[in-house]
Amino acid sequence: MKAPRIFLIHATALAIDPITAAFARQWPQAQIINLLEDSLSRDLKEDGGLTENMKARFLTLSHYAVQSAADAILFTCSAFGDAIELCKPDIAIPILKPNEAMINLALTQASRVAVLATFEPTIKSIMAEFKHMAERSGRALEVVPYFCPWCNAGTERREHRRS
Amino acid sequence: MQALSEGNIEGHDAAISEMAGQVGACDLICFAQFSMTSAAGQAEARSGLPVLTTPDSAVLELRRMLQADDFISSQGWIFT
Repeated sequence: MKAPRIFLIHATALAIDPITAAFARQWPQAQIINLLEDSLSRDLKEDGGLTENMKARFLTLSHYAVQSAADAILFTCSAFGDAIELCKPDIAIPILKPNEAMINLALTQASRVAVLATFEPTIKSIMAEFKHMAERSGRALEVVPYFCPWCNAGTERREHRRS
Repeated sequence: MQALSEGNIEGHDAAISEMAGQVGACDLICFAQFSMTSAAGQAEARSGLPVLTTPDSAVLELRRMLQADDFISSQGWIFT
């Protein structure tokens, strides 16, 4: 059987190592392709939210993956849930948002969950995702957010030094 | 450069696990970002709670989805 080809679309280089390690642990047979577009995080921060232009860019990235023979797409940056959701009806292969699988797992295992984040826009986006997915599954889930600003400052320093 | 980077990751992981230690009355902890995954083991030890990470959950889900597709198409092939 041909190895499934998974396109990973990243908005920050920091996501590459953790997902590569997770594939090595959980599914080493898959062929993984990395597409890094690191102006997405920067533009989201500057625009203060998802613009129409940003949504169109996500669709363009998804089409590119399909043209490149992807069997599935995984978006790895967690602050773009709505833009990714909008791509799903137009794209014939499975598209996974970064948090989708974890939230499904949490819904089956817990009734009260702590969510930790180091990038502030992620809190708003992931809390909405938890709420939406809990409602859709008909399960009651209480979600308590924890934000760690020091970690984000550390991340930005690291990015700066790398550039 | 490598040492500096590793030093920062240690600090990053320590800060996350410290925050995990402050979590009370929850069944489990979810990390909201891929970049936090390296802190999972430490955060589990510190909090005494299971930690779910997005990358591992996502890879397992993709594997399940695509292998289910293979199963369906191979069944289809057998019967056509």
